[in-house]
Formats: sequence, C-alpha cells, structure tokens
Amino acid sequence: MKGLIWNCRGVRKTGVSSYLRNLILEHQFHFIGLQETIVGDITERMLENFDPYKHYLWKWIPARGRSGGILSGINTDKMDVGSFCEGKYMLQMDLWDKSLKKKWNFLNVYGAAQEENKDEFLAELANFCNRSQEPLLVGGDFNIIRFASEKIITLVFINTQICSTISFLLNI
Amino acid sequence: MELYMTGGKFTWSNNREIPTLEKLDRILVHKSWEQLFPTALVYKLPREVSDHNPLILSTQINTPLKKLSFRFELAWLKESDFIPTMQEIWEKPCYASTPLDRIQIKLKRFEQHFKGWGFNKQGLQRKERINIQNELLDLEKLEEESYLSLDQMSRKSQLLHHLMKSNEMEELYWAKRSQTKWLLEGDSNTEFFHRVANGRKRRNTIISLEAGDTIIEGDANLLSHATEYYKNLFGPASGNSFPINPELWNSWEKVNDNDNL
Repeated sequence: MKGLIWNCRGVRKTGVSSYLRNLILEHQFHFIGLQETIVGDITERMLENFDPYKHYLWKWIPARGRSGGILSGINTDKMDVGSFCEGKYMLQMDLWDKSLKKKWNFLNVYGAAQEENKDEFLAELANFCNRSQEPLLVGGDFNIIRFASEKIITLVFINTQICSTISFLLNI
Repeated sequence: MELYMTGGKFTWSNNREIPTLEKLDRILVHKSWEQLFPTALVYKLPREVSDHNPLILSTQINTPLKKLSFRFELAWLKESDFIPTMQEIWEKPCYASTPLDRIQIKLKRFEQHFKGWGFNKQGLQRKERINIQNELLDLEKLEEESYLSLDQMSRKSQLLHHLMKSNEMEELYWAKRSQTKWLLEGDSNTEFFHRVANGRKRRNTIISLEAGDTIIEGDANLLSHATEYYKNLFGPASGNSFPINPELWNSWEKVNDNDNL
C-alpha cells in the first residue's frame, strides 16, 4: 500500500498538476492527502488534470481566503469510502481496504499556522482521534514542532563563524 | 505514534540563503493501524514545486513492473531524429516476392527498432529526472547538516529550474495533445471513450455459435464446444494411430539420464 502526504502550496500553481499526475502514475497511491490547496472550490477540470482516469474519489475542505484548504483522494479500485467527517482543520474518511478486508480511517490535517489558533487545532485533533473507532492514520502539515531538534535556524552557525573569525583575528 | 521518516529530518524550508528548516509534516498512526500495516515506512521526495517535501508512505519496497507493449506515440514526431531514422529503416532493401510481404516486413522492422527506441527515450527522460531528484535530495541533506555554499545553492536553483521547465513542457504537451478530439476524449476517459471501447468489446464478444443445426449458447458451453472443435482439428484422429516401434533407435541413439540433467 502507498500513500502521499504533501503540502503543495496551491494546486493551481504551474507545475503542480503535472507533478502530481506523474507521482500518481508512478506510485498508484491508495490514498492522497494534500494541504494548502489555496482554492475555494475544486472543479472537475482541476481533478482531471492529475486524475484523468477518475481512479480516485476526492473530498475537500475549501481554503479560507488565501490560506489553507485540504484535498483528500482515495483510490476506489483499492478502497471503498464509507463515511467522511469535516472539521475546521481536518478531513476524515472512513475506509474499507478491499484486499485486507479491514476498516481503517484516514485523517488529513492542516494545522493552524497562527499561534493563537493552535490550541483550537489540537483540541479538534484530539476530538477526532478519540471518536475514531477504527485503526487511524493521521497525516499532514501540523505546523507544529515537537522537539527542538525539529528546527534549524542557522543563526548558531553565523555565531560560530563570527566567533572563529574573531578568534582568527585575535591570533594574528 | 509517529512513523519514522527516512532520508532526512526536515520537511520544510523557507528557501532563504541561510535557511530555516523545520519538520512540520508528519504521519501519525494509532497502534492498531500499525498492526494492520506493520511494514509501513515513510520517506520524502525532494522539494520541487512546493517548499514542503512530499511524504510517501509505503508498505512494500518494490512494486512489480508492468508489462510493456508497442504503441506508436504521437510525440515521437517531435523528436528530431525520428523522421531520418524511420526513413532509413523504411528504405532498407527488402527482397520479398509480393508487395504484401514487403510491407509486412517493413512494418515489422519499424516496430522492432522503435519499440526499443521509444523505451529508451522514455527511460532517458525518467532517468534524468531521477538523477536530478537524487542530487536535490543530497543537497537538501547537506543543507540539514550545515549550510550550502554559493555554488551548491546556484546548482540547486538550476536543478529546480530544470525540473520546473520539464513540468511545464509536459503540461503544454498535454494541452496540445488534447486539441485532437479523439485524444482528448480518449485520454480523459469520458463517456465517449467508454462508448467506443464498449462497442469494440461488443464486437469481439461471441454470444452464440451455430454448429450444424444446433445453436450453442452460454460461456461454458461455448468454451467446451471450441475446445472440442480445435481438439478434433489438431488432436490425434481416432483409429489413425501409428505407434513407434521401440526398436527404432539403437540404445546409443537414445537420450539417457545423463543427457537429461
């Protein structure tokens, strides 16, 4: 089984649809979760650009203005979609895996970028996780760093360079 | 629990000269999900059209290759070496007696050559793409560990530019291609295409056969009738069996066990 999780930064941007079409062709994903579609409504035409053979069932949450937007696709040759559930930051689809003959749930999330909304996002996430009866997979852009090691700001480097330059100058 | 991502630590870059890298994208699973797919792993693709890496979750390492067949591809006409090569092959002398044989041989030669040629073309493009993507991943990794030199940075933007261009070219190609109605309708798998395909299927389907005076219907009956028919046609005729005399070959002429190994 294969799946794709990608913050694409706008599905209508040049290159995105052909890039996506190639990825789908190559990997034949079972499920696809895109974030930051930055479009209000997804049209049939847009979907045909990367899914011309209509292998996928697509569900989405429109973007709010110029930010956000979630798009989930399920390969209906491989899985059936039971119900789905929309939140503010996430979209859940209840799936039936045809080859495994098992149910599981796919939750595509796009976490709030602004600090003040992060609690609301986490509360919603906890809510969805608790409600899910079946095995759950959550994928997406959480906009949250869990550990200090998950971020590099190269300021440290600049400082060391300055330090070494200074120590070099001092040694002359 | 979070599924471990191979091939680097971060999934986002602000693409500044001195980049800030973060891990914003992740895949979390419940334990029960992990039991369903115990071999699942996550890896990332290089950042091309977005400042986030696409994450790929996979439960199998290699996917089986699809069987390939020969199809003429319209895009070949745009390749500069197509027409000359094709001409060369077509004009090769051919000593068949009838014109029909001649054209068949010529077509066969064409297929033999361009089957390989087409795959190579496709393969080259794909290989080039894979090479560029691998180099990008390497650069991204370097970026995670320390920082990129100016050279490396310009190399990176050059690679990205190259990929973007090939994406755009492809989009153009598809748009052009779709100007022909058949290809547009056919490619987008519309009702039109389905109707054509269904029509072909209907033409190919055998619903019933007449054998003498009786009419045979139903798939199972048809199958057994056809099997019987060809058995009679090619199989041994009854009462017409010639046994071979076991003494026909001398013992040294026969295949022995050693030969069979």
